[in-house]
Amino acid sequence: MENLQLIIPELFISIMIMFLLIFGVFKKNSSQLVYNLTTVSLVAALALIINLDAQIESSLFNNSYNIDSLARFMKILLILSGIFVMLSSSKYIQISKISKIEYPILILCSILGMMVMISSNDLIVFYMGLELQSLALYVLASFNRDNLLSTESGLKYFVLSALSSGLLLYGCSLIYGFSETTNFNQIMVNTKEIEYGLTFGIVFILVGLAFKISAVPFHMWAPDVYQGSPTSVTVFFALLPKIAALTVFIRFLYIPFYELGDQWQMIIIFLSIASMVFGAVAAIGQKNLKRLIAYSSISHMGYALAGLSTGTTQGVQSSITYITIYLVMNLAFFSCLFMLKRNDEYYENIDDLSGLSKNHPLLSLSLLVVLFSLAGIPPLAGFFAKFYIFVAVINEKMYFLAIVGLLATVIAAFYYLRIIKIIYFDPEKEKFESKHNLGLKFTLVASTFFILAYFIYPSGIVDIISQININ
Amino acid sequence: MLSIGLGHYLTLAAIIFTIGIVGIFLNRKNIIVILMSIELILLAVNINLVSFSIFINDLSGQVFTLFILTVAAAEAAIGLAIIVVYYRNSGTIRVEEIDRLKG
Amino acid sequence: MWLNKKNEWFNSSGRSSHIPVGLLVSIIIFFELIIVIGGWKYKPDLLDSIAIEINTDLTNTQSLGSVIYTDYIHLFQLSGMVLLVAMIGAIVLTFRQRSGVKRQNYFKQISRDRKDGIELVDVENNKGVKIDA
Repeated sequence: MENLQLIIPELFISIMIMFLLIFGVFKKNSSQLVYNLTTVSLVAALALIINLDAQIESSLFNNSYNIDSLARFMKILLILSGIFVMLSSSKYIQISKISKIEYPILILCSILGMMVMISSNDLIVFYMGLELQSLALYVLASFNRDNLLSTESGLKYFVLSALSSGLLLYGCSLIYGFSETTNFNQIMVNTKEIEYGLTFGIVFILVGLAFKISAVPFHMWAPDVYQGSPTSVTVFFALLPKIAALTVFIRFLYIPFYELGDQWQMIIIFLSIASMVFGAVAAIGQKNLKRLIAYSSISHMGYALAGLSTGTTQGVQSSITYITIYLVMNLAFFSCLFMLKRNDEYYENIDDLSGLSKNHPLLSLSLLVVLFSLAGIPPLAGFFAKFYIFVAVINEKMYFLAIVGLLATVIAAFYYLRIIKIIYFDPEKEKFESKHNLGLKFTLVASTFFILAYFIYPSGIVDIISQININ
Repeated sequence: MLSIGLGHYLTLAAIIFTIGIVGIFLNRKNIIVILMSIELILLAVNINLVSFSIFINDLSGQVFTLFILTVAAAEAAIGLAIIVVYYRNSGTIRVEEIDRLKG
Repeated sequence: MWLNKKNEWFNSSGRSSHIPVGLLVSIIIFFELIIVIGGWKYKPDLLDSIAIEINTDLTNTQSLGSVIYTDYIHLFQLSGMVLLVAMIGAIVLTFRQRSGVKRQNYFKQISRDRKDGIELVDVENNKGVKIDA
């Protein structure tokens, strides 16, 4: 029972979910209070995770729940981005009239599901975590229930995500049948020889995971859901599920399927190339900023998968670094999006940015930094993220992947630069409001500072990540 | 007499799974049919798991089945709720009319 | 988008055109699955990996119960959370309070006493009574 202290963060979050639910139901008009309490409890959960002894690498519940360095780092990343998402979107929620007590509670539920996914070392635990996460996300996507676009995006996300869960489950059942166990470590032991059933199981599971991470050709839900859901939910979609899905990708590829590397490597390379190229090309014609960032995130996921496809520890570490920097860049981008507000209405089209630099020089400057970083221009953080990936890929002599990645970067730079041109050289429009709440400002300043200052001390994050061991 | 072995159960599961997939892709009429198809896929997985569980003499497959049943119930509840709110806003649940967001 | 009518899968103008393609693909999937199944064989050498062997002395329900409440207790609790999310989600999406609908309020009905219902008024001659005072 002394092991139970290792899952204190999860227990704490579950208790807070129930407490906040009861609190919110019995105290009238407490939605803002519940929202703030949720942010506070996320901070407390972060403290609890950091407080755990980092040296302990242990597995609980018959080796089905892993507490290791990967899980620890990813959980810290997850909860940190959760806190920043909550800080930056509080004003938006009030203004767009989706401020209900259930909103932060559902966010906590999906974070709990993601934490379970990150730690899972067993097919059943992984599936339950995945479902807890996606059930909460279905509701969040259609949370603005009187808005047609929001409900439609929720419906599309529900149908496609449930279908992908079904495929993933069929893969799980095949893996269970052919390896006679659900435990990840045991699957690795039992799958020495290659069988059709195992190959099919891997393909089904990878298809399901690619849906969750929105990799091409299973990306079609992402632009619609990003555009239709409330922006506060879109930022959540863009950040947190990616962390959990990428961690699960790493776990599946490097524990149960590690022996079958030849089987999955080509699939991952295909997903990676398709995502990088398609994300870059399809974003060019977009008019809506949320849709654009959806295609941009598809492309970024392609780079993260490229790191995984190498099959080396260095590749995995470069992927983790990539997702960390991706989170910061998207956080900064969405903070800028939250600032485009005029008379209690938010603007999300690229045309609305026209001539922004005349009226809002500081906001334009930070958008400039973020967009340059997303495009991967040195010396910003986005450049280093891509650089690590390319080094890992070239070390494995996968030159084709590296060349395609470079070409995709060049294509992607085009549409990022187009936005910068619109901000700085197009005729100016009406002024946006310049008063914002403290949390939003803090998020924007902190993330922009990270992007700008990363090159001064790049080894800070790289050192932390290099201590993560995968196997 | 033909004795029923693992192959028969798995074939049944494969048939149901295929029907579920076909139901999602070929249906253009009604969202409820998609919901039913998803349910079919989950049931096919359950048949698979239970028959594997019996034939390799391991209980964890049956436990997995129980949890999948729980999740399927939750998923059906949320799916129906989303369809209800969508119907309130748009007045239709025909699949071919769900195109406000351009794909 | 798969759910859009512009997509070839759901193109309503060519009603019959996509059905043969879809059926062909599904038949291919089906036969692939059959091939997969044919490859399954019992591997006695993996016996030691089995987590929970089925005990024939107990009934199936009994043995399931005995593992769900012990080895899988964390999943049992987690499935409780899943159902909670389903409940919250269904309520938050579909529950709405309509304005202008008259409902019974039991508490109000029961706690009504004589003072609220009856008022004694002195009626002056030729003046009448104001009812909605």
